[in-house]
Amino acid sequence: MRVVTIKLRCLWIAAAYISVAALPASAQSLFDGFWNPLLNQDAYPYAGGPDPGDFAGLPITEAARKVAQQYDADEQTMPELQCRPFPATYGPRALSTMRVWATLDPETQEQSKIETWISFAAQHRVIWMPASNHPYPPPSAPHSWQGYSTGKWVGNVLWVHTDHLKQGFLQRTDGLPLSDKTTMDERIFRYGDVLVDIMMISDPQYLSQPFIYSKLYYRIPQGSMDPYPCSAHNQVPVPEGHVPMHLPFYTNTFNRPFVNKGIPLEAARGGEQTMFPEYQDHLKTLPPNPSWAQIDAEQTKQRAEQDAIRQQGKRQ
Amino acid sequence: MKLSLILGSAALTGALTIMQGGLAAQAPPPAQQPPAPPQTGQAAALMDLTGYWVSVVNQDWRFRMMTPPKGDYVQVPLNAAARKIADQFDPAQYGGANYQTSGIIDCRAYGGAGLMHMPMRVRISWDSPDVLKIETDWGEQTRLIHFTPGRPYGDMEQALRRGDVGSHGPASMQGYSVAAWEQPYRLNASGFQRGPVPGRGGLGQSQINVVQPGGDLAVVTTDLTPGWLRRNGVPYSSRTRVVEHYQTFQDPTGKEWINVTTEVIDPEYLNTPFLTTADFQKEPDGSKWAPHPCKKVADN
Repeated sequence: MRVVTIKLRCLWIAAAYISVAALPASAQSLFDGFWNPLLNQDAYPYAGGPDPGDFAGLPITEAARKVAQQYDADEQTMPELQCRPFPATYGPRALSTMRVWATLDPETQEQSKIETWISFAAQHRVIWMPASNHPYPPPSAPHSWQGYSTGKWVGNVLWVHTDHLKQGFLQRTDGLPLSDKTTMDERIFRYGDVLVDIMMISDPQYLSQPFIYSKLYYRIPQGSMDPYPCSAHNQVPVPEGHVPMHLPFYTNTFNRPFVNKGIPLEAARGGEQTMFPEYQDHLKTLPPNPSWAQIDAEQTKQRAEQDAIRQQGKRQ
Repeated sequence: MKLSLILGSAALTGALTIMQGGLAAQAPPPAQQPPAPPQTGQAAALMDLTGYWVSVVNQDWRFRMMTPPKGDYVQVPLNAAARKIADQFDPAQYGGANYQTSGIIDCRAYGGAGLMHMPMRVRISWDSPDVLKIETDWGEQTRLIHFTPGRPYGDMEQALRRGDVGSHGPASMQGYSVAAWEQPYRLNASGFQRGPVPGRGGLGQSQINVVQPGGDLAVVTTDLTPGWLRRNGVPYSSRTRVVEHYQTFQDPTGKEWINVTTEVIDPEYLNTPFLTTADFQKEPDGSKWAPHPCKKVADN
């Protein structure tokens, strides 16, 4: 009789365990590991950065264009900016190895957070999952480069929402800004060894509609990552207090590269109309770009005018 | 003792019921009932791809929206033989000095391996319960995507490994496409299995047959005639195989989108597979549908 009772107790415990284990769980590990960005698309704007002034295909506002037209790539040499991190809205689009790992709650074995580390600029991001019960920061909480991310699984797709972002940039080397009101929604999934990250970036100030961008990664079975020490050095001596920038209203500053690539100057101004197929019909109507010599002469003249204004400012 | 027996039996029964719930949903009908008709691709659809969609070009703009300069093949893993062919591109045939923005586009750029990367609108509809049709306005192409009757679900990765996707007849610009709805990976299944996993599991593995939401459409295209990966003559060969995955999503404003991931495998001209994506936004109707023929040259 006692043997039967013990056996039943064992069954009961086993049954209770199975009942708990059969509940839907969020714990998955589809993305854990190392991933390398694929370079078959958009390597041109993200490897070395796009040509300054090339905004074709980007749904930017006039305000964004005006800010970006004052951008001077020399700012990358400023000691204050040399180790500037990438924002979460840009980092995954840059060309650098990414590591993904999940943390499970030791009691429930549910995913409490998913973290990513992108090699270049040492970008560390935390995606808080529902099981973490992590408190959502108040609107007054400090904004950061990586922002505050929450995630949930819908089938095999990881949905991520990010806000609380610092004022950042849409693209690194053309000065296109993103405001601190920017939010990002992502859908991350994989097909075999390919990881897809659909980034949907919204900014009421500088984007006229969400910027939809899908990024591809390929799995590295045996990945590793180098550290990213960064220290600022005075690489290009400049006078104290000098901030590289172009003065407003000098809009021809960047036109030279477009002649080589054949991008019409009007198209390079971007805006959401340049994203749709009908823009191909509009391209037919645009006048040919001025010659390289003409553009060079115009830019030289504009540079001289800006230098004169700066000198005048210093004298005052 | 009696109470223990009753409670224990009830708990075990309940647990097994929960555990096997997923299995029961997948179980075949009892033998005495007539077999259910095989499910078609349309009936088994995991998402609705039908309607009008417009490609939104904010990636690779200068390679997609206009013809890149002759000799600009950056990002495409071409071998020397392919480069030699691409160098024969003749701008004079496509508008001369204005060839980059003339809108005169060779039909080979709308071949099956490059089509979904081109700026265009697509109209997707069911041509028959097992054939999905994709039509384009720019380039005026039609693709037919074939589901296998009675086998609407599948795993294309496995099929490719097994060599299930073979030749289907004479080559053409759009080739022959086979498709399967890919169910999401199963929880706790080994090897990223998608379908039911009978007879597996055990303690700690009991979620193995929990049905997950989502899934995608996988398409494999073969039997292609040679074409171009870019508008400036970057070639792919007739040995090319194209693997595509279609996934739908919604943006923060509520608009519907399709993401298409395309892998071009060409043992003749590519050193490695060529992977790209394209995003299409849903349109309410066909009012913006604008057919544009492509240019046929002697080699087409």
